[in-house]
Amino acid sequence: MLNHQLIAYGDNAWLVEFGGLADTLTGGRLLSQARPEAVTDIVAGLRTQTVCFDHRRASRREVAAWIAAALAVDAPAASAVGEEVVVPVRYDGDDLPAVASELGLSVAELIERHTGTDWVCAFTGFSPGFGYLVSTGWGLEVPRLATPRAEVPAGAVALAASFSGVYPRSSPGGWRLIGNTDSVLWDLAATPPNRLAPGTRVRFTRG
Amino acid sequence: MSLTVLTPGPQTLVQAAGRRGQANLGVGRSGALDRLALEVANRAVGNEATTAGLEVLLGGARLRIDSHALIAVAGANGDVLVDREVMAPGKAYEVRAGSVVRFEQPRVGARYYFAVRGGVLATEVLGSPSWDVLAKVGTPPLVAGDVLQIGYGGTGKVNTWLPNPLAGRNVGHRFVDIARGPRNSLFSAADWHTLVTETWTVSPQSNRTALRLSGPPLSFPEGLELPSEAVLPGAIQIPPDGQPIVFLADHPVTGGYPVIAVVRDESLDRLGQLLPGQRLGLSG
Repeated sequence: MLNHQLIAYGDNAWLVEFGGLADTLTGGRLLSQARPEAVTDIVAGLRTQTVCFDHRRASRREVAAWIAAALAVDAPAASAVGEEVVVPVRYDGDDLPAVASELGLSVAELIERHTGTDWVCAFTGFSPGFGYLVSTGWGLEVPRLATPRAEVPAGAVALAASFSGVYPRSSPGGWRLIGNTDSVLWDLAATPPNRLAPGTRVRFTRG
Repeated sequence: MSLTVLTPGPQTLVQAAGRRGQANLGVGRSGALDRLALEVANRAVGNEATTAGLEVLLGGARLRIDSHALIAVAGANGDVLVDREVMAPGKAYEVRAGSVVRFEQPRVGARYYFAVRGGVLATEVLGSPSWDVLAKVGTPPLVAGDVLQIGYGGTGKVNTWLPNPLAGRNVGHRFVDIARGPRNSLFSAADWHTLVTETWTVSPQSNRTALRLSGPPLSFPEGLELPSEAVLPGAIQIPPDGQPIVFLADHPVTGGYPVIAVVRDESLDRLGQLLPGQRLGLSG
């Protein structure tokens, strides 16, 4: 039984708040399975899952009852499930030396920590295919750039706040760049087009 | 059967119902901002309510219909001419090959919706041709010279008449209805009072992603670090500068600022007809 709280989010959604990341990931997985027809999407957040539904097809109370039932199921911890994606990184980002220095680490130590911990995609947003990666073993906070770069290349590996991420397409960006990967994270010709989804585990390697 | 974009004006986009269930990919809903107006135009020519049509921003666009076709417009209150005739919104017009449709500057509203029997056939991305200006997926914004194929069929009765939402209005909608949002409790009663009593001004930094409203700043909760959570169409977010952001169809999937209120679903379409400088009240 996952502890959770329901908060109304407009006419067509319930925000479901969990106590921590593990519960949020498990909750997301449970809610995404066997969704009734009226539930149109589950939107992952860092501590929440938002259940979107069609209020012409199901009442708010019915959906709330379904959520409670779905989350009452005993489930293995989310960290044990989910595909693992290995991302080889050339640690040559423009911000790498500065970020290491700010954190009081050598560049080698920073790389060691980035590759030495298991990451998981908690939620998406900002750009198609972009996953906000978190890790219980990371424990570092990195400020964003005061002024975002006008253009960050596709494949840039970055840090901001307590997250890591990879830019799937070229775009403006305010995260600190520590490396580059040739891994393709967004490809409309592929099925699915996104390599990362909430719950996907990620490991960075030197490569 | 096809039509040619002679000039797209400020912005002409293919829009339909949009996408659902793509949050995992980081892709939001998109689709026509004024869904009701798209439906009015579509039903006039016997299409389904959400058959792909064109969303035309302001005046200036011109289209050439390259084959015999049945067309209709709805949405903004303004003159749309086919050859020399002004088209009544929500009415079907049978046109011959070579007819030119010209969109004049609206008197009231911002966006026209153009429908053709059979629908516009355009590149589908993730199940929809709708162009999302934020995610940049869908059929890209149309440019001069673009040729769009027109579908065969449309099986509904022609001239299924629905009233155009802005019909007979001299001024646009001044109010939308809102409900308290999931993070309403982070704000004071005074902030809520400001939100629902103030007459807000739509700022120039507004587009299909969001309307940014100008007015007295609400109080951003001091020291708040809200874990990122879902952003939905209609969500009204308060960022650190206290100026409300009302998200629309091309919303980001998640965001870190608190959602104080949500626009009610039936009011949402009206937001697509507001222009910078116009005033808006939030009734809640």
